[in-house]
Amino acid sequence: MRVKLEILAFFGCLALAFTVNAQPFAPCGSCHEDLAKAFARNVHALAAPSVENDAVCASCHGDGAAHAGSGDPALIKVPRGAEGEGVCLSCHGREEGFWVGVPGVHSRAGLACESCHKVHAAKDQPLLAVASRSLCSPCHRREEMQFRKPFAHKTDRGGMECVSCHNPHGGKGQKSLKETKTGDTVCVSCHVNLRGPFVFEHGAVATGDCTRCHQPHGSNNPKQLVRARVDLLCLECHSSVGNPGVGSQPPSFHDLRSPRYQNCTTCHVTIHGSSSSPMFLR
Amino acid sequence: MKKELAFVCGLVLLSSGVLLAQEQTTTLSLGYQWVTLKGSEETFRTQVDEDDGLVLDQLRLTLKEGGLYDTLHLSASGFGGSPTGTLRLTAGLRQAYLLNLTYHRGRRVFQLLDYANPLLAAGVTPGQHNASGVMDRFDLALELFPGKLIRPIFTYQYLRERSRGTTTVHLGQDEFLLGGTSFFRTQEFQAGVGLHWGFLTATVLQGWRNQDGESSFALYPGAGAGNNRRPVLGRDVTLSSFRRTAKYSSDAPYTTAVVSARLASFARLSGRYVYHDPEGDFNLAELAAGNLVAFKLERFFQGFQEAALGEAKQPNWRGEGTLELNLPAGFTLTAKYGQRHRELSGWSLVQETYLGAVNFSGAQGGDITRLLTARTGLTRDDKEAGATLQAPSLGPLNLWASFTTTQQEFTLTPDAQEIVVPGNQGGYFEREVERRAAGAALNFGPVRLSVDYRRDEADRIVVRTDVLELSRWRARAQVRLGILELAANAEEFDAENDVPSNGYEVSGKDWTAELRLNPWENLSVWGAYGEFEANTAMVIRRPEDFSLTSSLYAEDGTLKEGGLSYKLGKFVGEAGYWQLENEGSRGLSFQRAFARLEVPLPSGLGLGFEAARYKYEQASFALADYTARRYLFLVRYQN
Repeated sequence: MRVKLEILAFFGCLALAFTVNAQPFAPCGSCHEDLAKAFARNVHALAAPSVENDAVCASCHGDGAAHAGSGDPALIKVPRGAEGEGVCLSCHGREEGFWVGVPGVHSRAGLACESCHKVHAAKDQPLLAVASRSLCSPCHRREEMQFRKPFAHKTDRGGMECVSCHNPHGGKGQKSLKETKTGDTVCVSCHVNLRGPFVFEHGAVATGDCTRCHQPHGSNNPKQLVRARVDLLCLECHSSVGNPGVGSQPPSFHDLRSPRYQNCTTCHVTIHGSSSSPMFLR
Repeated sequence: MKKELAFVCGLVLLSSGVLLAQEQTTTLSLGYQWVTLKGSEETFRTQVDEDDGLVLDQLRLTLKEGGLYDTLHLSASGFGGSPTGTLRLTAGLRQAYLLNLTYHRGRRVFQLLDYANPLLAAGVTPGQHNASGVMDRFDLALELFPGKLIRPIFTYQYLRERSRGTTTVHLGQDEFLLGGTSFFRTQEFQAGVGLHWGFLTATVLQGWRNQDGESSFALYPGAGAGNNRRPVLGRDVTLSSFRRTAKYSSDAPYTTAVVSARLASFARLSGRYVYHDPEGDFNLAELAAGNLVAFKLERFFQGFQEAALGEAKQPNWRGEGTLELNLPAGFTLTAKYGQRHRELSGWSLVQETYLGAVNFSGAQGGDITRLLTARTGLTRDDKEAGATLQAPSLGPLNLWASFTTTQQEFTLTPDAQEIVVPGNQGGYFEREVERRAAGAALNFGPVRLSVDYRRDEADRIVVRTDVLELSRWRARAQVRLGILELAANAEEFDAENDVPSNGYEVSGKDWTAELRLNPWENLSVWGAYGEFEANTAMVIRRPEDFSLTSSLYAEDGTLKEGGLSYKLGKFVGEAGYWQLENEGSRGLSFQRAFARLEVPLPSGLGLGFEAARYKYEQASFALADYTARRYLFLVRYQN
């Protein structure tokens, strides 16, 4: 009985070893061993029914029988450019934010998925060709310059990234801006105390957006304001000089020669909105 | 700081434990940094805010096949001495789940000497609106059965912001400095399903958000004399005590639905709908004592009590649909229509009691109580329709053109309290904006060029800073020739609102170019130069003498950058410098230089050193200037 058990165990172990050593992705994996191993950690593998056969490779590269037979690189499809975009969007085009055919700014400029992503040898998540912090700046030098200004969102170690506010695939909103889950401006996803609702909402918020008063990337002015002096920024709307639209809203009556009145928010402290003071004093 | 230190240490220990247990790839770079500072700490904290302490330079961890996951990526950086920190975890099990988890921490400091500071001339600094706080944000998204027909989706967000600082209260014809704390918290939960069935893809999610906050402020020690140091009607206005507590809470259920259907091989229709129904409650209690005066009551008074209640509702929805058509001859047409509706209605009940009131001739008036009620209302509707036509690629050339029209409608119902000078505060206002845009992109071998133009025209303005015409040019270029890479951006825009009483003009232009040389695979040397310019002008009336003048703002600056990078295996040497100068309305110079060296040791270990210098100079206010240096020593492990 003991011998039988040992024989059984021996063949059991042999079968197990055979199973463990079985080559996944055969025959693709038999040549492209490194790619096959790495792909098991790839996020794409999560949606595949199995990574143990070639169907997963074929879903992007097509039928590789001819290539496998001859080893000729020309006989396997390597999707690039517009063709590559079509392959990616055959799955990703189903998701919100990846609008097949809808020309987002990057698509309109002739950029394809591979301009930013690398499926097999990504340097950063999500499958980015280079680290996400240095992905956008080579093309967007101008925006990089705005972040050099002294009052800016922090983008150094552990800070914000371009994708914190922008959806590079285009879609909703101007400037490919993201929105909150409730369709609000992306700014309030962090500045939640300004989300409201307030009984008394500042007209600049009600009729426009945050960029009426603030520069989103960076500014030479404190609070990333669009003007150097707060009183002049406010007076651009709050001046009684007649306006065919919303009226004096109300105009300022203060003596601006006094330092007390040169920064309106010294008194109008809840300038974004208040629930107890129509003048935003509390 | 102790908590942050514990967090960073915990993270490192956790990763070390996992490292020993699993097959993985790892980069862990951890160090300690020191900061030295000359000049204004307040400005440095507001702008840079690097601090002494432990810093997680970089953590990257990839594990595979751990039983509960097929793949797991963990990355983190910052925390400790760094003003920000982010941790990301992505884990998934094939066809079972995909989990994304993000934690972000950010310090927010605002302590400028000259901002909101009416006492600057008297040498009192910093300004009166200061805050020093921390925001913690935790996001979790879980998708079950990725790739299957039905995918349950769950998301959760927790965001907390705590801060301590100063603000002011306007009371009795004076402003008084207050000190205190505030706390704000948001919790958001979302659940739903994603569906992929043949030609149809849909996601329907139901969410709930709850926010609450509380702030507590009291008279700042020594601030009882107020900002106005002169007597009013022969009496000194002073405050001996003040306390305010305010509480806020809101609930917001919301529904999101996204549907996308491929109607034919050449046509796809997508739609999106969001309904959001937030409702907020607010209450405030204030108690003050002192020698005060109120012109609106024509009384002196000895104390003040206020209790306020408020409620606001802001139901809103938005819906949009997009039709994508692949037309004959390779044209692509996208037509889009969207509509957004937003309402705001609120009421506020305020009870103010002026204690120990005395009229200006000295007669006792006792306590005076005022009960104020206010109701506000706003409705805003936006309707947007547009189409974009993309031409078939003409070899390396891509062309596109688009047209969008947006109709805005506002109905404002202000309360009588809000109206100081009658005239158009309430009523119905509408505005239509038409936008035309076109662009071209050339991708020819190593050359990539793109240019686009946009022109907006509006039929009228609603607020004074709306524009009637806007035009913008933008161009980008990238060239890669052997060891040389050139990238350049340029933009120019003009906008105006020539309504006679407004005379609003905005213009700006900027360009920047970067040249990078890669003489060897491991070495990169680069330099960049840019200029920016902005000018705005608008007619305003000076309140003190009712004269008309122009509000002018200008920026005129340059950015110079340069650096080099050498990487050979695990050896890294980097150095860089940039200098931004502005001669406009707020003249300043901001410089940063940094150098970094990483040297490999046996067994995957390495040592690193990083040094950085920050220098800020403000043309009209030298007290704000600072020079700071940061030194970071690192230990690195990489396999």
